[in-house]
Amino acid sequence: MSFTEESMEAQVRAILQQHSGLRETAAGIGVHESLWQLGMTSLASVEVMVALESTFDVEFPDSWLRHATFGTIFNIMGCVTALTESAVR
Amino acid sequence: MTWDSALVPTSATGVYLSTGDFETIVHGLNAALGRMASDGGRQSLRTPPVIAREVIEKVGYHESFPHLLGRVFARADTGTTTESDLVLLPAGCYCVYPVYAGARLTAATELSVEATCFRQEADAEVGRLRSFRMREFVRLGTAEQCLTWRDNRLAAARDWLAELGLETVSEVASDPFFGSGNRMMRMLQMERKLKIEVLAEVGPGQVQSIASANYHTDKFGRLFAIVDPDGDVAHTACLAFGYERLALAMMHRHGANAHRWPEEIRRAVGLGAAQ
Repeated sequence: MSFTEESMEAQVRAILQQHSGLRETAAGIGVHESLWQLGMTSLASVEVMVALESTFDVEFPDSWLRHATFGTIFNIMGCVTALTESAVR
Repeated sequence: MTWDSALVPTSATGVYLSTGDFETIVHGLNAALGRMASDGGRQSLRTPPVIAREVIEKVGYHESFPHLLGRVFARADTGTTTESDLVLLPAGCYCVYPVYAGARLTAATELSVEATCFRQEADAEVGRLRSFRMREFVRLGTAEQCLTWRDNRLAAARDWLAELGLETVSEVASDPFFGSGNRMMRMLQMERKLKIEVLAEVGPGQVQSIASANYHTDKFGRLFAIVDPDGDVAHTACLAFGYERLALAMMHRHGANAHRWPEEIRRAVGLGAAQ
């Protein structure tokens, strides 16, 4: 499965809108803005991770379950891209 | 009747009656930790075995650990049995944060609580009790104050446990979070070294955590609107000692009869000279 960058970003933002628990609308969050500093809790980040796995049909390895992975939209997209590409190979 | 064990099993797994000998050791440990707790005039509190359900729901315990939470049901005036406004207390420090709700700390604050706790533990191994007691030290202040306090308290705790003749190791640990998010919650917790446990042998080949330090970042400060002296959201940390596990570790190390323990060990837990 492959995603254009635009469609992936839209889907990541939709997931954040629904699961991150942030008051800010996901559309207004900069791709490099820290989701942790915006107030995302660990519990909410788990929901984001589960939704990402389900939407993109990937599985985050243990070593990627770190604050940095889910810290920004940019990082999330980078990790999901790497996971989907490794799934294709 | 005499018993061959300090903890007498009941029909409920993980729920024990304790013998007088066992309680003598617990009282000694309690007194020693109590002296540590009140050192410098710090406040020391005793909790009831229950806490307002709304507090536990506010901190999210019912979502992170629903499998451990003991709920209380009672018969209402209508005659139906419904869940009450109380739950069984899972850890002492949850009683502390609501006391400071809305407060601005004038200085970094430390106090201790002695608590009777309940967790619906699934395992029945030695020392894994469902109903148990703990002494918990709690710190409120800036992030730096809390982390420095945690490290100092942990070092002092290990020194004290060494004086009691216990060999301990400390390691970064994680909590048994519920559900599919368990894996990620544990990894995030361990990445930031938020939980550090002090482990000791409590029975033959049975190593368990006898003390546990947690740094909560600003979670409770944010939830209860507690502000540090600089005007920022307060951070919190805690260090808890489990009385039953400590007593089991002592008995495993020095023998079941405290009257026969080495004199310096007896003195360290305030048991006085052997008869």
